[in-house]
Amino acid sequence: MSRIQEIADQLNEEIPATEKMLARIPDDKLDWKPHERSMSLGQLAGHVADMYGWLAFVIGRDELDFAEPYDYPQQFDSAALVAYLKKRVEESHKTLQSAASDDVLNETWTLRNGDQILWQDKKNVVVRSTFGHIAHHRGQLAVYLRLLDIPVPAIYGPSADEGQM
Amino acid sequence: MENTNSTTGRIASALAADFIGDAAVTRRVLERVPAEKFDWTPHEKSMPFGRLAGHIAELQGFPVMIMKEDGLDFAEREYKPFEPTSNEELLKFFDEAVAASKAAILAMSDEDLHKDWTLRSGETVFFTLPKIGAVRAMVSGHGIHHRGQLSVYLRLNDIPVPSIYGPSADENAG
Repeated sequence: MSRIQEIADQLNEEIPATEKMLARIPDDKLDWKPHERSMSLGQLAGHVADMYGWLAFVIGRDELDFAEPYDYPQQFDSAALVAYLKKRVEESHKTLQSAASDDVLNETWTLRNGDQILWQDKKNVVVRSTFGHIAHHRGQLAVYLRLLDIPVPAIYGPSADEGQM
Repeated sequence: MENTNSTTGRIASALAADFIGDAAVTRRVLERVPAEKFDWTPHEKSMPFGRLAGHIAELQGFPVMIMKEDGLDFAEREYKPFEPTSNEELLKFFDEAVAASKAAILAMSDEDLHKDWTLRSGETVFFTLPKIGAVRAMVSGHGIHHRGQLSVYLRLNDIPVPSIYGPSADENAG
């Protein structure tokens, strides 16, 4: 199996649990945050949904520049979050399907803020970090749901609410 | 050891490097978990602080089992959760697990890393993946998931959250 195909499969494995979580977010709690220095529920959930589209510019482009405008909806309700997740997954898949071979993963990718280079590495490494970044914030989102007494779905195994063996 | 190749494979080297890189970041987070808060929990259904940190440390040892066995059956294995009583004990357990897993991964040929590994409870099969995929799911993704949760626990206790995937609201990536 090609590495590109493995990445596409990993993306698909991720979606069911994430979609369940986003669908459970109550529209009247989007501004809630567990701590004054934390992201709000709406910000965190929007960030998680958005990251599923990152493979489009990690694999399809050579850099991301924070100094340039980034198209991102600022307001979400629960239905919009799920729709946005699906749109972003689709964008990543489209780029993966158009990749000619695994060779693209050895190309260099750069994260910059104008002239300042923040991070530079092979695309393969950046892809792995992207999946980690998603798991990190999705784990945080699971705590937010718990604190709001919303059942946490099974993600890497059963939660205290669902999927008991 | 079931490896059939005396030289470390390229895939094993890359997998070990990824594992060590994640572990270095995880250690920075675990270092900040104070023993006096080990019993604190954000919700009655949540893992307490010390238990969540202990679970993250346990996961670092999973590659040993994944490399040496062809699966895990919850119905057959008695599980005793690691519940540390001090931060030193937590980090010692963590460091030993990381070292053992690194050695186990580096002992594998590329071919052996693609052999199947199955997670099951008796007759119920949860998944079968190549060993390299089992490490990705059971150790990397799973460990990062709980490390993300631990970062919220730190924040809720007003303990500065270190940079993990970029600057936190408390600290810069530097």
